[in-house]
Amino acid sequence: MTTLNDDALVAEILDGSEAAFELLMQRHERLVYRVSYGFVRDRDDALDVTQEVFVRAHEKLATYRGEGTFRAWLLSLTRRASLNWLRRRRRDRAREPITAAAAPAVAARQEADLSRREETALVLDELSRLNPRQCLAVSLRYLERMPVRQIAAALECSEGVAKNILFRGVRKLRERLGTSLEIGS
Amino acid sequence: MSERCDDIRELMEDHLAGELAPEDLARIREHCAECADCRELAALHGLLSRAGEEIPVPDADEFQAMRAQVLREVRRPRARRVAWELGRDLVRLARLHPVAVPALVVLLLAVALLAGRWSAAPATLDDELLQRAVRSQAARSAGLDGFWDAPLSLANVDVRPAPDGRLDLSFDVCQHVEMAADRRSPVVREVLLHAILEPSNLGARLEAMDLTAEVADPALREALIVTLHQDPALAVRLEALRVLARHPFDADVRDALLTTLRRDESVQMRLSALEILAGREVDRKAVRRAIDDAGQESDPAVLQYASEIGYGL
Repeated sequence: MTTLNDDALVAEILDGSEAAFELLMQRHERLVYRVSYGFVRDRDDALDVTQEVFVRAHEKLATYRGEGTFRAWLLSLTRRASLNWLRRRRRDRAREPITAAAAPAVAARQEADLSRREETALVLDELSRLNPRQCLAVSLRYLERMPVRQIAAALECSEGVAKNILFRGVRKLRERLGTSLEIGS
Repeated sequence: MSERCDDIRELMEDHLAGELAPEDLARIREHCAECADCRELAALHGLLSRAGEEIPVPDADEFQAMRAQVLREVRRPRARRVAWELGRDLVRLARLHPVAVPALVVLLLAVALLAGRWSAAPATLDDELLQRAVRSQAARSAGLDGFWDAPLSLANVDVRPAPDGRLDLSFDVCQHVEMAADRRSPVVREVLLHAILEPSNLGARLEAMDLTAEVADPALREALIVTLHQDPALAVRLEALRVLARHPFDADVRDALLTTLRRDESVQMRLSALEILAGREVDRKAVRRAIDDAGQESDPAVLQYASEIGYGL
């Protein structure tokens, strides 16, 4: 079964195979986790979103028509699940009192000497503030090193449009991260 | 500036894909030393790539636990999924045969009307439904049947304190169904089978057994034989014997009666079995052997009756 491609596994799952579904999860769980992390920026939350994505994928599997790739379809579910999760978190946080931890990232940006971890947190924070399509495109391109062709499939658009989305996403990130950038080695 | 920014940015893209020769990397460095714009972009690429490497990734056990949880979740709504698949098949059928689906709908409506039943099945188990089910169960336990009526009933209720001050509730939720069906329907057979073998309701067992002769099904006859041999209530075993006598008399029924004659602890049962066997064409030696096998346990009344009907020693 491990040699079957995604579409063949989907057919097995639709025939009731649990083993095929587990294999499909194993194949894509890290990608789904990492992309959702790009949105939610929390390890446990990203794992929860990953779980939610696969439950949703199983429910909706019959609607997957084999057009494009399964990975693209799964990533569109990941984007939607991550956004829903962010919406829920925003709603919950609106009810919480404001604490120092919730202060905007701008304050952190003014720190002259950002440690490496803080820098990463800052980049991911700004990444998650991009619009959803840009966030997904930049995550796939830079965090996952995915070729533009596959990003276009995940965004359900042409390669040209995917390149534009990427370009605008990167430009916005540059504007927002602005002065804290230093040239990498 | 040594090179065009567009060329350098293409090289940066190649660098992302891991397809960059050392001399091209040197070209990027050289260009970035002079061009602030490209320097900033290169820095962003570096930051993003590093961020990707520093994402905390759960270990294999955590992913395995996540997969197990997903599998548990997806097992639950199977009924909903089956309904969805049925809908999908109907859509396909409608595409292939536009008249078929309306015809099927009309047929189903007709069947539902004839049966005189409309399902009041709830779409989901919301809190209100569960509360009504709990209350209904409580009313039933207090002998107030029908005081609160609910489409669901509860069984196996268990309440335990949980560590965080909440309560762990555990119960089975069952939906009550009322329907009318033809005697030959497989559902009728299964419900009768269940009623015969269900130990908690003696009345239901007796009534269900009485109906099996009219339904005439091998599985039901099997259930009658099991009841004849195993039911703890004498009244039920006697009824099983009486009903079996009305079924076609074949080797299975004969053997069941011989076993009863040999093993049943009740004299009344053994006498009744003997009486039925005597009225059929059964090998006399087999009947005699069954009486002998009972040995010391053979009641004098059985021996006397056997002697009177010609099975004496």
